[in-house]
Amino acid sequence: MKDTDIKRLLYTHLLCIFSIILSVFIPSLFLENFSILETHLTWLCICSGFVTAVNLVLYLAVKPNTSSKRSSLSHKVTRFLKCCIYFLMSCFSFHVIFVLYGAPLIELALETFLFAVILSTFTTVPCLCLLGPNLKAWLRVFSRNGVSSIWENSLQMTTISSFVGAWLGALPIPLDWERPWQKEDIQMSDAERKFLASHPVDSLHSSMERYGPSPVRLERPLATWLALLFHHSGYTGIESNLRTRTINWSKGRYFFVQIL
Amino acid sequence: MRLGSGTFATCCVAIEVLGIAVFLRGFFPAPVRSSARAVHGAEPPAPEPSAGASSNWTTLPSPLFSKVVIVLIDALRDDFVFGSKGVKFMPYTTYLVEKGASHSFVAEAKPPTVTMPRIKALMTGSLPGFVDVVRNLNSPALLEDSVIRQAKTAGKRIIFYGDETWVKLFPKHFVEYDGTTSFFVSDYTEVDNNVTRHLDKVLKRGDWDMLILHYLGLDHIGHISGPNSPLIGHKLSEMDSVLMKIHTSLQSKERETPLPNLLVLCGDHGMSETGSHGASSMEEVNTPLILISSAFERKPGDIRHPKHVQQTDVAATLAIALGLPIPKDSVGSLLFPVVEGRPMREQLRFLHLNTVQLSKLLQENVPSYEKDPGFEQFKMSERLHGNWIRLYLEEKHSEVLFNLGSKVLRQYLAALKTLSLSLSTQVAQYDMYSMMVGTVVVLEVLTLLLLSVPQALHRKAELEVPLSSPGFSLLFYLVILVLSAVHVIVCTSAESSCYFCGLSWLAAGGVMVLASALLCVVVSVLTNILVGGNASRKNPVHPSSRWSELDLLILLGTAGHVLSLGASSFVEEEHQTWYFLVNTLCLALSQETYRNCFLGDDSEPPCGLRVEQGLDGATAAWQDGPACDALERDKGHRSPSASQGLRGHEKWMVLASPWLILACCRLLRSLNQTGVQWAHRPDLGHWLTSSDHKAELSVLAAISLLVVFVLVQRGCSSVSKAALALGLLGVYCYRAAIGSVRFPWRPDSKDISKGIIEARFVYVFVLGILFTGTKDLLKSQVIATDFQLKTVGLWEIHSGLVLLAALLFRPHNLPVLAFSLLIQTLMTKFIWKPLRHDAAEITVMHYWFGQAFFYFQGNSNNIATVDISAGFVGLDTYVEIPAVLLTAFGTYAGPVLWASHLVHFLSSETRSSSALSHACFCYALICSIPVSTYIVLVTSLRYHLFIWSVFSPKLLYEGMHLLITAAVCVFFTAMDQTRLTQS
Repeated sequence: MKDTDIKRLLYTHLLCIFSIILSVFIPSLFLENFSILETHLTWLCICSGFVTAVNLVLYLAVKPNTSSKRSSLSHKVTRFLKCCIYFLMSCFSFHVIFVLYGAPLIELALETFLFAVILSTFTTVPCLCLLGPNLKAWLRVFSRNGVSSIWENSLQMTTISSFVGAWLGALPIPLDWERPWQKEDIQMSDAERKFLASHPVDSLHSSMERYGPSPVRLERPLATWLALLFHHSGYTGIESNLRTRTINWSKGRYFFVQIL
Repeated sequence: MRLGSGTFATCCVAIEVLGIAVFLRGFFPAPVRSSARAVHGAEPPAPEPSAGASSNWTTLPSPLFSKVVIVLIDALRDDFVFGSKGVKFMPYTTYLVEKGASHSFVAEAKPPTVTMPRIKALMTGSLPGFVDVVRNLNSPALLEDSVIRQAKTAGKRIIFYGDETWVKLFPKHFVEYDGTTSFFVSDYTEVDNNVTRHLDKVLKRGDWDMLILHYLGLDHIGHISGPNSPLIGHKLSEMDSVLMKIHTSLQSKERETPLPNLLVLCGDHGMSETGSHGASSMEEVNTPLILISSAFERKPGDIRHPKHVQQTDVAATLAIALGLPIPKDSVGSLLFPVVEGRPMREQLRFLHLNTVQLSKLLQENVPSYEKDPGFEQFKMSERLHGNWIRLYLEEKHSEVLFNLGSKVLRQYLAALKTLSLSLSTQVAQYDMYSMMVGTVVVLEVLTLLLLSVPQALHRKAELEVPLSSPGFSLLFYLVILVLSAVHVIVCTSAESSCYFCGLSWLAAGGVMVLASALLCVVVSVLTNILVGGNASRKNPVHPSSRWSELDLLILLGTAGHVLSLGASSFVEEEHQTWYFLVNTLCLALSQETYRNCFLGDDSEPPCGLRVEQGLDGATAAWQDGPACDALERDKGHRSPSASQGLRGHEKWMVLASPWLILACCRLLRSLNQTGVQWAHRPDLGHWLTSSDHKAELSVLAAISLLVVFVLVQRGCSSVSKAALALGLLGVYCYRAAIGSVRFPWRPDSKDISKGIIEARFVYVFVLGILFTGTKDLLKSQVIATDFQLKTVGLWEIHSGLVLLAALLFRPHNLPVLAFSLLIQTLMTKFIWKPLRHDAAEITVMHYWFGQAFFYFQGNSNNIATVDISAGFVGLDTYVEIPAVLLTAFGTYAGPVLWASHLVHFLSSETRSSSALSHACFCYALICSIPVSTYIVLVTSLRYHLFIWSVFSPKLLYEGMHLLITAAVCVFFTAMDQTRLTQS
């Protein structure tokens, strides 16, 4: 029983990751000028759509909670509507939290909201799929020692790591990697010019030998490959990007732990 | 030796302050100065060198130009003149540069690219060190030798129009002046018209020798709308016409005088792409320097790429041009093209004078100057020069003489370059030995603090400092010996000047004894722990207290903040880190309140936001939160019927307060945009301070003061209540008197005073409240049982500080004060009391909020954001000690107010007797971790690109913060001591 559950879990998560990858490549077949960096807003919409769809299909197909009893159509409809309302509510409350965290109130409102949507897709949608619009059960799952099955355990971990990932995703915001002097060629000459300005020419070389490369140069490789990415994807992109990676990482770790 | 953890922590912080002081002294090199400042002008000029036959030329060479006009345009970037903008908007200047008799250069300004240090660099030729900027925030008169001073002594008549800074720097030096203030940045036409309006008259008169014009308009435009605004073009054309006017007038005057005139066009610093300045980017550093005179020969050169020179070269060149001695502290070298047209003997004479001055400076500042390559070159060229003079006196005008002369010339130029370079590096040289000593002391203290955490946070809050353990004395003497040996070796072999070696033997020995004692204590504490650890492993009693999310957040947040100090962007935007941490703290607290109130009790009817359906019996097994226990206990006192409603109300407040605090923080965040990247964005503070919104500002200030009164008066005695009310009224009157807010009954009062009387009125009440508080504290110590009195006394001290802060804060910052008090009240009532956090957690939260409020006030890690006006409140003139104290308090009001609230809160809580010492220890620890890590980081990053613009100001802030922390810890310990004597 447990083995089959783990195997199913593995496939679900793999599919989830696969859907994120697909959401990068598939739209470029249909949409012109599509790329993650340039049109990150479209990508965010598409990505959240894909993930929602995959989650819905998977959880309907796999049905981990076998206890759900047969019920009438109207019940199902109200349940679905409730789910939608919950989803929207979570989007709005995330939006409010982001604004409280310092996101601009009016400008970039769309970016902020899309980020709220994608964060809810990664957290609220799986909860809704697995537990239904039942806050009681949610509270149980997210309290200490309240987990009763592998599915809930995985839900808890992915959701919490999504939040942690989104939180960590804000870290690059203060970095000024998009500044012209941080870009590759200019920065090099500028750094050297600074060195020359404050040190005599010969002591430059000796100090380089003595103290190793200056930190400016250490920052550069990192800065150059991340600068483009972060500059173009904006802060929404940054956060969702890092978050996706965190989720994947935590999923991987989860399976590692489980299989061992 | 047994010590209370509070006392121990205070001692540690005090030692740390000492270590930081030594480190700072090593890190900020003393500027290169000539010691012979007492005898200005008394020194005779160096005679012409000669070998054998004595030369007859011992006086100073005569001036090259009769009149000098300096046109200094603030924030003139090099591409405004030499780039496409120059071609488009400054046609006359471009013509002069390309075809006229002129020399053009790009003069590099050294950071900090702020007007005052740049004026100093231009006129004295010295490099104002970073410390100078801090030391001279109020711009007092320049004491160093400068071209202006020399010209004054030589009897030249100097006229100045422009930025007032000059008048302050050189008081009584100008025969005529008109200073314009750079106070109103939004004005960019009037400031310049005020300069230009004198021009016609002055140019016609011609009874002057030096005319200095400083135009501020361009800088103001840069600050308002950046370097790409269309206003820049207009301003440049205006400047071009000014230049044309001056040039034509000078040319027409030239026929009457035997000597030609000189016109200098320069900028003090550039302008970054956002329009500001102060840092060291290429745009801010490069300024044009154009020397125009009919004495120069017209030559079509490659003007697109003018030669790069240093800004400090201007002083030496001007001195030579006017026939004055070169300023003593100048590190610049003569701009050779200026004297190129003179006879060879004069050229050599000028160069010789300059090299002699530089080598004298080198002798005074570098002990081992003889080994310096520049000095060797100087000696050699002097010898060659002597030989040349002998030849010259023997036989005149020959080809050999000329060839030899140009050889000497080249030699001199090379010597000048090397000397100038090695002198300017002197400023940028770190005193590594002092830095290392400071770092070692600080790190030892930090290790000691970290090692004693388990002991100090134990219930007894006492710890054993093993000063007399057996191995101690041997180790101690050994370490002292080693350190003294190192000291002797380092000091005897030091190449550059070293502060720590310059100390007297007693002081240096004291520091070494301290360092070795600390080392021994650390070692013995470590062995104790290791031995004790072995003992505890044998009987496995582990206190298995799980860490809550809050503890985890506190630890991770502290670690993350400390790590982030290594990146320049994070230092620039440190406020973002603190806002982020405080927000997360609020969310964590809200999660805790939810858990405690919903999962803690199942009998309660649900009243939360998220639980509509109630909780069934399954939740009963979940962890019991202490909060609702506390609520339950509170309920026990009241009648059951009344408690139900009140309890529901209280619970609502508990649940809502983290969100309220979050909302407050969000509002405060938009009040002052700070940092670097987003500092230019519009914020509420700017909106309020603009003159159109005076009414709104007045209303806001009045409301804030009212809120402050309502929140503070709760804990005060009736006397101080009245004093507080009057004091806050006085604050409003003070602000109305200086014209930043207005009274409703006097909407447009024009009379603006300095508000001295009003401010002193408030000071009286501040002192009165502080005095009452101290009296209450002393009384409570005498009457040991009166616990209530002590709480009241502490609150009175807190409210006195609040009143002082209200006086010093600018009116648009008063909401910060009100919100700070509001958050303190909310946290106390609904979070700390019900949730029963321990003293360490509460201390860290106070520290975090204090840091966040430091930035909410509009501070940043940039020296420029320090509000110096706080130092002038209620003072007629600049009086150093009160001004410094007031500015420091005004800047650090946030952390200080939160710390004083912490003291009051912990001593009003009676639950644990050792809470105060725990808090003191935690406060000391959490403040010293960033400082100690930061000095290590700065040492390793000392050749970073931004060391002067980003890391050094932050280092000063950290040092100041540590000093404040030490004061707070002393206060803590004093309170703790009174508690000990009571019990």
